[in-house]
This record gives sequence, structure tokens and C-alpha cells, in this order.
Amino acid sequence: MRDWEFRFNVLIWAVMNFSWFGLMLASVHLVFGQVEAIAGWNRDEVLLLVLVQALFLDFLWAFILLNLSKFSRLVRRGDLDLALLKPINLRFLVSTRYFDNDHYPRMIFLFFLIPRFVGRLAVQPTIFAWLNAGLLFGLGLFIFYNLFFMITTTNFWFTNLFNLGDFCSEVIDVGRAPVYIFKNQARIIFIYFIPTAFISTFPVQALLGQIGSEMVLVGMIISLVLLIVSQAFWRFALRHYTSTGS
Amino acid sequence: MAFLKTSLLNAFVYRGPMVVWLAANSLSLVTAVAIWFSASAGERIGGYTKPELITYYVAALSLQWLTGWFPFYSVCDEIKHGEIVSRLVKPISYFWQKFAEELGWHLVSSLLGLATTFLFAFFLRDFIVLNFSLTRILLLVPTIILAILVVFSFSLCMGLLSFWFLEVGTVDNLFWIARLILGGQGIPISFIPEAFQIVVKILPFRYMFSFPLEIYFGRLSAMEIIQGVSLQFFWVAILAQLYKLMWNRGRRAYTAFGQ
Repeated sequence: MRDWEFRFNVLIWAVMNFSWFGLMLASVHLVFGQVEAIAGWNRDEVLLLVLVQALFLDFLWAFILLNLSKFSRLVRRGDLDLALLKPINLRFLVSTRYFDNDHYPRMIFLFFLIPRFVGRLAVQPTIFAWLNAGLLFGLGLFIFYNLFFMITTTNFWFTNLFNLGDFCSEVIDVGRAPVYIFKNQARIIFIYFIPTAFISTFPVQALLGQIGSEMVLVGMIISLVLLIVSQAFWRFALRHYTSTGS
Repeated sequence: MAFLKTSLLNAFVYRGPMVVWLAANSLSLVTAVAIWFSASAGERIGGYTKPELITYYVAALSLQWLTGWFPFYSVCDEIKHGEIVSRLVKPISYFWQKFAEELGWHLVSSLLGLATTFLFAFFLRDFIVLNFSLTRILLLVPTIILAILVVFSFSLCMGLLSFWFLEVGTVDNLFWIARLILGGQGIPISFIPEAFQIVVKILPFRYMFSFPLEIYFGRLSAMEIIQGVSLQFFWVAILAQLYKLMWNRGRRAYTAFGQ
């Protein structure tokens, strides 16, 4: 609600988000002015990757990353003590308190653009394919929420790490290219350990009918493992939290 | 000297964030290298062979750390929170105060960046193109120094907009968009169509980043190098004048609370 008191600010940042989106599209066009394919993916397929990755980034910033960056500040300034006193689950509170409203316009725009662009690819995804893609996309969000939450939890020990958000953004940027640019062990890392494949590669492949629901199962397992590990790490970190005496 | 010393100490205190930025840059490099390895194209991509493109991104990693002089956010914070008032009474130009602070930070961070670059160069040694000669080194050193001055001055002027505007973060975003495309930090500027090259060559972004790399790869004639260095001097001069104008006007317009 606070954001909407500065409507012009929200509008300016929404325009900036579209500018970044324009940069991403321009980069793809410039690269494909010089190459025919990247890891076997043609220009339109990579453009679809960029659209889905942009939507992923919007969801992440709108609902998750802003909360995590504010959590860093809570720990650094000792304001976490006040949050600890509230009669609500602390993880839920720090994860869902804020929304970044300037991402909504681009999100809505992409919701309309992606289906139209898929139509342009002469592909007719079935309802099942759309559901599959949506599930993979949602699992990707859940996976990265838990992953970034674990990274942010390290602020309990490394209070100077104010720029973890920059690292998180860089990880998401990897999702702008198909995961198949990586070979061998690197591909295993980016599918199972830092699963950038779930950002855009797998959802797009589901739309294009290239994968079935087997990766949904893999995504569920990764999500469950990360949820358990991140929750255990969070509890461990809270036990070692020392207040600043506020 | 006092500002430099404080900044050096700060650099060691903030070694954690330095490592995080380095990890982020390294991930970006790994992705870029993987993309170019997997690209299907002719013998040359934007005028570069694949080994040259890979070398471009490895060299760009160290250049990012050498030329990444961005006092923008610290200037904005100081103006917004009134801390700049204490700077006004000091008998040293604000420009040189911030320069000394950036120098301290970069003396430490550049070493880290260079070490990481050598590590990547070692692992990718089969693909790295070494183009060093005495002439090139003699050209690279001053052009990198000039690139630093252009970036620093530009970033300082952007920060001084805080004298008039409460929210200037969007300006920084526009700067980064321009630097990524027009400066060659995202992709080489040779990828930009010929029709737009004149704009690229006039604007300052190329001289912040791409110009030293173009010299390294021997892509410029002697006349083009002279023109490029002249434009670097031109932009340093213009931005220095702009800084003076903005600083003098900004001081007159500024009111700080409780200072």
C-alpha cells in the first residue's frame, strides 16, 4: 500500500522494467544477427526463453526478492528482534511481508504476450502442455525461493553481505539461455543443484512438446529437498542469532 | 591521503561483498563462454573468432573490476541523508575526495578481479588469444586510465542529480542499459548494425569499456586509436565541466535537515 502513495515512482520503475526487457530482446536480436543457433535453439525459441525468464524474474521480484533483501537489512540493523516478538511464523513474516508493485505491469504484459508468441511458432500446445509448463514454472519459483532464502540466511553470520541480491539476479540471468549450453558436469549442476533449467528451459520445452511430466517429478523432489534443508538451516541460524540488545 | 587510507581499510572490511560480486561476475563469464562455445555460426561472429570472443569475455572480467568506478550510490546517499554537509567544509574538492575513496577500494578489488581473470585464463588457456606487445601495453595503460576517468566522472554527475531529485535510481538503470549495449560490456559493439555505429562512436559508453578491448584485439588503425583517445579526453573534459556546473548549482539549491 505504501508504494501506491508514490504512484509516479511505481510508474517510473515499471517503465524501467520494460526498458530492461527491451534490452534483453535487443541482445537476442543482435546475437542472432551473427549466429544461427545457440545449443541447437533458434532465435524464436531463445526469444521465448527470454519472455519466460522475464516473467519468472517479475514473479521473483514482486513476491520474493524484495522480502529477502529487506530481511538482510533486518538482521544488519538488529530490527529482527521486533519481528521475533510477533505472534506469527517468522519465516512466513519475512518472506511475504512486502510486494514490489512495479513488476505487475510487465507481468500482465507477458501473460498476454507469451501465448501469442507461442502461436507464432506454429506450435499448438495442448492444455496438458500448458499445465506442465505452468507446474514447472511454479516449481522453479519454489525452488529458487528456498535456495535464495538459504543464501539470505547466511546474513546471520555475514552481516556485511548487503549485495547477495546481485548474486541472486546473476543466477536468474543464467536462465536466459538454454541449459544445454552447458556440457557434462556443468549441465548436471544447472539442472539439479542450481536448477536454472526450471526458470525457463523446461517450461519452454514443455510448451514445445519436447518434454513430458518426468521433469515435474524431478522438480518436486528438488523442491522438497530444498524446503527441508532450508528450514533446517533457518532453525539452526535462529538458534545462533544474537540480538543487538534492542 | 586520509580518504584513501580509510577507503583501503573499508575495502578489507567489505571483502565479503567483494567476493559476492566476484562470484556473480564469474557466473556471468561462465554463462557467456558456454553460450559462445555452443553457438552455431560461421568462422567469425561479429568479426571475432570463437577463441577471440572467449578471450573478450575473460578480459572483460578484469576490465569490469579495473574500470568499475561508480560513486553514484554513495553520492546519492550522502546528499539524501545530509552527510554531504560535512564534506562541504573540508578543504578538498568533493571530486577528489570521492576519487580517493574509489581508488582505495579499487586497489584491493582490482587485484582480486585480476587474480580471478588469471584463474579463468588458465582453465581456458587452449582458447585464450594473447595479443600483448610493448606498443599495445603502452596504449592500453593510458586508455584504461582514461576509461576510469570517464566512468567515474559520469557516475559522479549522475549522483549529483540527487541535489534536485529524490529518486534517481532509474538514471543508474539507464546508464547500465547503455553501458551493456553501447559500451560493449554485454556483447561486443561490433554486433551493432553499421547504421548505429556512428552513435556508438560518439557517445561516452564505448570509451568506458569497449575501446581498450578493441585496442587489445588490434581492431583499430592508428588513426582510429588517435580519434578514440581524443574522444576519451573530450569526454573527460566535458564531464569535468558538467561536474563543476552541477556541484556549484547543487550546493546553492541544497538544504540539509538538522545539519
